[in-house]
Amino acid sequence: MASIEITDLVKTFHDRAGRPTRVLDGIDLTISGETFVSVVGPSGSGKTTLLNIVSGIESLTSGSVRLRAGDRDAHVGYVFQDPRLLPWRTVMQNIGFVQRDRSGWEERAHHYLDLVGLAELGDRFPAQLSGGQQQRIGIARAFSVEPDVLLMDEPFSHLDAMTSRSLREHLERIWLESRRTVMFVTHDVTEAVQLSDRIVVLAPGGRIHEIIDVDLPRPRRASDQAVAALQAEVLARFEVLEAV
Amino acid sequence: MTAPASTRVPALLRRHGTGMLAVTAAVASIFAAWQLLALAGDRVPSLADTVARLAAEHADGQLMANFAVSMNRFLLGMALTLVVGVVLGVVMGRSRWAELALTDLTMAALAAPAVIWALLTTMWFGFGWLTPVVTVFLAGLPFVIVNVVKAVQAVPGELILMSRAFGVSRAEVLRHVIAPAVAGSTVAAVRFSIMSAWNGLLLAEWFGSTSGVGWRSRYWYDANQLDGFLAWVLVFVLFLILVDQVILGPVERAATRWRSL
Repeated sequence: MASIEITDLVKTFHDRAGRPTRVLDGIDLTISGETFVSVVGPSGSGKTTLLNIVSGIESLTSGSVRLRAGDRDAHVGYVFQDPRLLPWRTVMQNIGFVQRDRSGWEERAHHYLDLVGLAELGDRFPAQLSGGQQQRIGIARAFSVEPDVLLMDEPFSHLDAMTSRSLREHLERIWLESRRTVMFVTHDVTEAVQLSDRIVVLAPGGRIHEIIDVDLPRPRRASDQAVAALQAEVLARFEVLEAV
Repeated sequence: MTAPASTRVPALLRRHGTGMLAVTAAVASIFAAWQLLALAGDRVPSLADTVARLAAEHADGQLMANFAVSMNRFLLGMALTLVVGVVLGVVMGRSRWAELALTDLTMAALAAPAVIWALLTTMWFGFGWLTPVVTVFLAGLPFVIVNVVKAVQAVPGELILMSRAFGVSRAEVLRHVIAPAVAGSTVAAVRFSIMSAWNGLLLAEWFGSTSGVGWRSRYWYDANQLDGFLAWVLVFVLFLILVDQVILGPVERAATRWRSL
């Protein structure tokens, strides 16, 4: 079973004059098993910094982060805000590039391309795809490495409403099939409620404000009554937080 | 069924890009200007006389022997230029300190005409193979450094971070991210470098050698035989145009093909 264990995490940035700014302040969070956890919060609450530290892209100031899968380090997949595909490689080559386990990667790639509805586009270059298609390739790439832990940083924020709704449905379907441990950063409460088992709300200053359990049946649709009601409730709490 | 000739020609041009057209236009304009000068006075030999001299040089064994010697020196010098230039360019592109320490020196070298290197190396090494090889190296090096620095600094950082997030090895990042990102600029660097280095080679052989294209040009210059001199200038110029348009142009287009998709 995979887990993300974050203990008393502090991250401080220094400006050019050397003045410190604390962007994450004592984060304690454990995500384990087949759980989809969203991290929401207003701008500047440290959501992306938290994800970058968890992935190892960024260093932490103090505290600890452990990504485990049983008795070994967890394999990580990452979906970024923008697709971050190599423009000089085809879709299949892009997926092949990130594979640490080369055995059977082509089958996995085809499988996840099929799940995101792009099975026929493996030979295309990124410039030949729309923004939504590129982001779906980004999702297929992340799942294709068979990660123990999947990190997602506002993957639909650059897309139009129709495309992002369609991609959320794709994502939920793939997640239900693969059941990874997911940490999903978003500023969109609707997205968080539709996708998550738990929602971690970060407050300005990088503290955890509250953790909300989402106990709703899947698959969910934004138009479901229970989903809409919970969205309204979380949004109301979120607005209070933003006004502080 | 065979396509009519009228459709075959545009198809050929499309297949080979504008390279062939550019070579043809360049050669035609050089020959036209030459013929005009020959007609204007008696100091420039005609194209026919020059080609006849070149044929005589070939029959004499001089053409291929001297060209081969020059190519040998040129390839050795260019290989050194590329290895050292790419290493220095990558270091300067990735290290602010290295860039600060070496940029002014590189710019000074870039500004120095090839004749300076040819004269210096002749004084340093005298008559021998080292003079033209080191001249090629020094004349070509700054062009490679400047372009590789630019290319390395233009490598998209977000793709490096993406690779790191997925745990991709440094060797794979170098092969699939950095190398393709810098390929276009590197080929451009080689194009400029070859022009400067080939120029330097001719001068180094002129001043400090007893063989090669440059030396043979000087032989005819000293004999005050313009047709012989221009025959070798023709070899020199045609080589540059052919390498640039027929080899490097298509290579550069292939390296940057993804940009035009």
